[in-house]
This record gives sequence, C-alpha cells and structure tokens, in this order.
Amino acid sequence: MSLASDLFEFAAERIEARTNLARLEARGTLRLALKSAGLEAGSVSFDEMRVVFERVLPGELETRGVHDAAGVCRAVLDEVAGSSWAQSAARGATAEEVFKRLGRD
Amino acid sequence: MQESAYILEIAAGICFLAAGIGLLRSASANGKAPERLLGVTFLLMGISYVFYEIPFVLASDRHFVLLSTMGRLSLDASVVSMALFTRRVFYNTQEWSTRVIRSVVALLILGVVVSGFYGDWEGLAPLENPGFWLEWIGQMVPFAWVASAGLSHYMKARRRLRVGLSDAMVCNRFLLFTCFGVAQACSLFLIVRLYIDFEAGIGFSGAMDALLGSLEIVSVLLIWLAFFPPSFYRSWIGHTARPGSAGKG
Repeated sequence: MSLASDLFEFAAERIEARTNLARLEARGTLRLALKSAGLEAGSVSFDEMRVVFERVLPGELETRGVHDAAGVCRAVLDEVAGSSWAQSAARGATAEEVFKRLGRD
Repeated sequence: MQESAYILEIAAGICFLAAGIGLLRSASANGKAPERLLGVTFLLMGISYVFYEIPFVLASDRHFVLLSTMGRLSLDASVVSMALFTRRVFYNTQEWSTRVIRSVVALLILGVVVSGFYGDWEGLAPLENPGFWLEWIGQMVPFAWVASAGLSHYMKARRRLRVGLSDAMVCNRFLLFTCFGVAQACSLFLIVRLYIDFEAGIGFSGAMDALLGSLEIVSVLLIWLAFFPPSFYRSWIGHTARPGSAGKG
C-alpha cells in the first residue's frame, strides 16, 4: 500500500469516528470528494487533501446529513496533520508538476 | 507531391527541430528525463521530415530509398521516445505501461524487418507489404496513448482548477497535448490513404498532401503553444480561467 493510500485510510477512519457515517460511507464520501477535485486516493498528498477538506468535503458531508460538517473537517484535518502519514505522503514528480515545468511559465 | 505541400512539411520539420533543441537545452540545464525524452522525440521527428523531403527539395530520385528508409527509422525512433515520455510522465509506476512500450518496439522492428523482406524499405506499399501495417500500428499506439493520457489528465486538471489545486496554463497544456496526439493520429490515417493511392499508381493527391502538411503545421502550433507559450496566449488563458469568465483551460 502506498503512503498516499495510508493517508486516505487514516483520514477516512477519523471521519468515520467523528460522524454517524459507517466505514464504507466515510470512505466513499472522502473518495467522492477527492474525485470531484480531480484527485485519487492512491496518490493524494497532504497539501491536496487539506484543500479538499476545506473546500469540497464539508459540502459532501452536509449532503449526507452530518451536522457541523465544517467543524468535523477541521477536527479531522488537525488529526491528519498531526499524524505521521501527513509528513511521509510526499511523492515523486506528478504529470502536473512535469507539465508545469515543461511550459516555462 | 505538390510544391506547396512539401514546403508546409519542411516548415513543420524545422519547427519540430527547433522545439526539440529547445527542450534538450532545458534538459541539459535541469537534468530531467521528461524534457530529454520530449526533446529527443521532436528532434527525431524533425530529422525524419528532413530525410523525407530532401528528394522533393532536390527534385531528384537519387538515394530516394535510402533517404526514405532513414526518414522512416527516425520517425519510428521518435515514436518510441514519445511512448517513453508518456510512460514516464503519466504511468511511471504501472507495470502494464512497460508492456505497452515493449509491444510498440516489437511492432516497429517487426514492421521494418517484414518490409525489408518484401523489398519495401521505404514503407510505401500498404497493399502488398503486411510489414507496413505492423509498423503503422506501432506508430499509432503511442499517439493514441498520448491523446488518451492527455485527455484523462486534462479532465482531472479541470476539476483541480476549480478548487485551486491546478494552474490554468497547465490544464490547457494537457488539452493541447491531447490535441497533438489526435492530430498525429489523423496524420497517420491520411498517410495510409496517400500511400494506397501511390501504390495503386494514382500518385500523391495534392489536396491530401496539403491536408497532411496542414495537420503537421497544426501539430507544431499545438506544441509551440503548449511548451513555448507566448505572453499573449498566457494572458488569454489566465483571463479565461478567472472566475466568472466564459471559458476555462
């Protein structure tokens, strides 16, 4: 399992613990939030996940009846930030990074 | 081949050479493999144009077989380099992508060997030479791969752009790269038609030849906008990507 997958697993587990969502629901909601931000569970970095937790996930949780979704997201994000996964989920150069470099912006 | 057509193709060849040299200079400055692979791809494409067009420029059939064969081999090498770039950038950790590369190389080598067996070193006889089709598939696969990988990443980059995780220029670059793959694939379809006509004794169609040259110019334009974007283009993309604008990436 990749470090990014571990990051996803940890975050999904903390969402499950802080909401009334079942394990599959928590994982599915996070996966959908990542997908709608053009990301994948197997390759997401902590910085990307932070943006998803701030801008996308609160809406997804609210849709599923989670109260104070923004507060839940902040709390889970704090836990993820303090975990070892957040520091270790660095990756090699992504296609996005290569294409940014290739364009001489 | 009509004069106007080969002039377009010579222009495209020179542009590919310039793009290749530019990217190889970047690669030598930063030591990065993607720049090197893409630079080699465009350089070899440019070289293949030079080989293919020399007989038309000199209006001489002298060394036609040798020059056409050299053009063909340069093009095959550029296609392999393009496939390696696609694998490296988009599918680096995926085992199946190595099998794609191996299949492409096998098809290209087999295509050339079978063509030699049929005495068609120039690769101009699709009706009689089955090696032509092996090589053609070996060339088509990498460009189809470029188009599909580019499109997939463009769709994801558009979503990332909405939440501020991507850059409008990068998103647009994926789209241009996709269009480049599509344009090259279309060129390969046109080449088949041209060569079938040629083999049937009809000769190269001027209109088809001009269309092929135009597609090559479009390909060059796409590469130029993607990897050497002028400031007006960057401004335009930046403007259209701003919230409230009509277009995006």
